[in-house]
Amino acid sequence: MEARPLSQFKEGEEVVIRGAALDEELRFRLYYMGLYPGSRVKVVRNDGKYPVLVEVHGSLVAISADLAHRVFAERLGGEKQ
Amino acid sequence: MSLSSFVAHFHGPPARAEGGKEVIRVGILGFPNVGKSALFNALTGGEAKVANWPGATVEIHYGYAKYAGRLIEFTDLPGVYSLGEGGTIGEIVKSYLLLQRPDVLLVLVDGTNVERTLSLALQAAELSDKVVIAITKLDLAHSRGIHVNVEGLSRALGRKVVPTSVGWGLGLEELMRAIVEVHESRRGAPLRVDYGPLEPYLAEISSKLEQAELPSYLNARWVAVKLLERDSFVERLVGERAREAVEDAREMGVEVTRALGKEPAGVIAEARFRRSLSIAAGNVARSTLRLRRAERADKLMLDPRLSPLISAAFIFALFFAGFTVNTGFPLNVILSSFGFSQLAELVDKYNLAALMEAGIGYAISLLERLLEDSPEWARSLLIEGVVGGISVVLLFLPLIFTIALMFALLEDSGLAPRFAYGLHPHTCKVGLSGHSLFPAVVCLGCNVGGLMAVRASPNYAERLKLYLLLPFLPCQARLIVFLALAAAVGSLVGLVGILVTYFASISLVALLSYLLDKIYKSSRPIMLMDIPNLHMPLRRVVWWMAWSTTKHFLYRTGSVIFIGALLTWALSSFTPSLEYTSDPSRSIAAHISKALVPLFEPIGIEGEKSWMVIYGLMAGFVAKEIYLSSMAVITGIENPIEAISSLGLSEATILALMAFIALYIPCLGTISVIYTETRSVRVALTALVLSLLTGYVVAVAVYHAFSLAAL
Ligand SMILES: Nc1nc2c(ncn2[C@@H]2O[C@H](COP(=O)(O)OP(=O)(O)OP(=O)(O)O)[C@@H](O)[C@H]2O)c(=O)[nH]1
Repeated sequence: MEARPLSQFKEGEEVVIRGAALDEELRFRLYYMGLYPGSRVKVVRNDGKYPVLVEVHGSLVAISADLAHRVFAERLGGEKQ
Repeated sequence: MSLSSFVAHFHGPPARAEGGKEVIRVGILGFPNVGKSALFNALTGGEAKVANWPGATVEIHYGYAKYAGRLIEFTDLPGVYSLGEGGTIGEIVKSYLLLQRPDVLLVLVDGTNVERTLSLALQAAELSDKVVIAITKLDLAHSRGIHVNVEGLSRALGRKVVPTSVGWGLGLEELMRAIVEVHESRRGAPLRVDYGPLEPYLAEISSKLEQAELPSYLNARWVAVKLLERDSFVERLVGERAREAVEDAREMGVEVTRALGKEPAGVIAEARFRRSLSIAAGNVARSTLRLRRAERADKLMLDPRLSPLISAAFIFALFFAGFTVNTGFPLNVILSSFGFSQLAELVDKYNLAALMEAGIGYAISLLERLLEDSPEWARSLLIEGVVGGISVVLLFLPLIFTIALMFALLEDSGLAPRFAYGLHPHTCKVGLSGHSLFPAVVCLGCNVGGLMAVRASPNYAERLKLYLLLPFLPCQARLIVFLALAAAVGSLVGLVGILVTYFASISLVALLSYLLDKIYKSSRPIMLMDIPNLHMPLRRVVWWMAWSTTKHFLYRTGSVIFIGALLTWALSSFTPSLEYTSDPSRSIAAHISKALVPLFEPIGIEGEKSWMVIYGLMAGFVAKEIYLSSMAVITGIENPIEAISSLGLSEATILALMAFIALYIPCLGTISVIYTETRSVRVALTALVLSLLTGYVVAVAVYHAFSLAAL
């Protein structure tokens, strides 16, 4: 399954993070917050221009829309176990 | 900012405190929101000292506690998700850990979310054996049906783990005991996390590092992990002794990325989180008990249609209530514009600032009687200089405290990040993040308070931008001057002038912010943050936050304001030959004003009395309210409106003045607060010059536009 920008997933979808096209400082920060490649997160809210809210290991994280366009993820279930 | 100058700046404590007691230095490390400040405050009894990273508006608190004959120094580090974090915050934390080197590292793990926050404790345990782990917020965890097996965690990590709750006052003694024990125990081994596919690389780098003779506090494996992670701080730290290892690690990083399709930093983060999730899975139990009420509230707060409305309404309501109690504004203006002038007078009379002013007035009259026999210059120095300066600071205090309290409540309850979320897409349109509305709204009442709230914005570049632009927002003191000027030109034109001034100032901030955003990428508003659970704020934490902000204002900003007020007094009380004079028109300030007259000719200020206008503007630099009283003093006409009218200024000139007053630096307090918050003379001076230039250019434009229109 193709990785798509996080901003394209719907509320309630569970996804696996694949990577991020962000500069190093932000990209690493994302990893350290729990959004590393391979991490499973749940999209809690996604309303277009609003920050995307995801649940990461039990915490709620807000990612502004412009960043969410550049974080890539796959729908859970699409990956080979 | 170089590391060595930070180390020099951060006053480390003496190795031995008074009384020959041994000092144990403890760094408190944890995720943002893990409860660091709350625990720090409980441990040190709220007596914190502040160290600053110059120019970065990052404060580091440190404080002391006594336990079993030892003095323990706690340093509250900024919250980080990982020791790998870059940026100023990451640098600060690492320079404390690796250059200052605490005796014991206290790592906090959030009792309501062990699985995620444990990852930082793992990293600390990999670095050092002198680590104590505190589980925080046990009371909250308990009420959410979360049970933590402390002994199991301790076994899994090989470190002492202490359950704590600031809410219950639990675990503080035990924590200090654990710290002393760990400090005095013999050295143990660092924790080992399995990094899977990276292991062969780590082994190779480690063996290179072992030959490089690193200082004993760095274990080779930990350094190897950091090098593979491309941690630039650690690269610089060991670069001299282990150049080869650093270069090899870089090459291996590229190789790993090619082979695994993931870069090492990602693989490392994954391995750590896997480990903490599995440790948590074995040691944390959740019953299904949940907080229904908070969740329902959250549905509203995070709803995109409602969230911006709720957030803005909340902020404006706080603004309205807080300011009305303190200054009567804006309720007084609203009441009088709806014709309830008697009520408005009541509000004007019975607010904190008015009551304090009455008190200060009484004190001054007492002083005057006491000093009857002393020479005039001494009386003037004491009453106008010293007491005048102190009262400028004092009059700010209740307002600053109120704003700090609102700020603390918003931050501590978890409302602030929700507001930021709801407002973000809207404020983004003018290049600001959702964090900036609160300080901006407060600025409409008082720039000093508003600028103090700027620290809510997590982005340094954005904070800098706010310090430079927000002073363009007209505060209540400027409104008072506008009203007097408006009365001097006649009500209708004046009133329209005021409305246009407000509209134009706000638009100017939006426009400049938008332009800066286009020019400087770094200040672009991004949002990447945790949204902690909504909960009742802890009284103790809120109180402490509000009080420490107020104290900070009183000591630091207050002393800058006081010195500035004394200087201004001297300028208007001495002649150029340094003789005391009670006639302001002979003072140094008057001479400077006269010299500056040609500069103001382009806004139509001319004639014999023209320098008085400039004198007023100079006095208005201390505080805008003083503009009016100084006009009264200098013209000898008690009613400030008549005083202004007596200058014979044209309508166009008065409107140009209004524009200038709206834009040039609001007051000494504003400049002081910009300086004390940024610790940078350069930023403060930039703000000053920017505001003078902008005010001047706009005023000239206004004057010409109106002169043309009048033709
Ligand atoms: N109920 C309860 N709440 C707590 C406790 N400790 C901290 N909190 C709350 O947890 C939140 C975060 O606490 P802080 O002490 O501000 O956290 P911090 O780690 O300093 O956060 P940053 O300043 O963002 O790094 C606040 O809302 C506190 O009120 C506790 O023992 N019990």
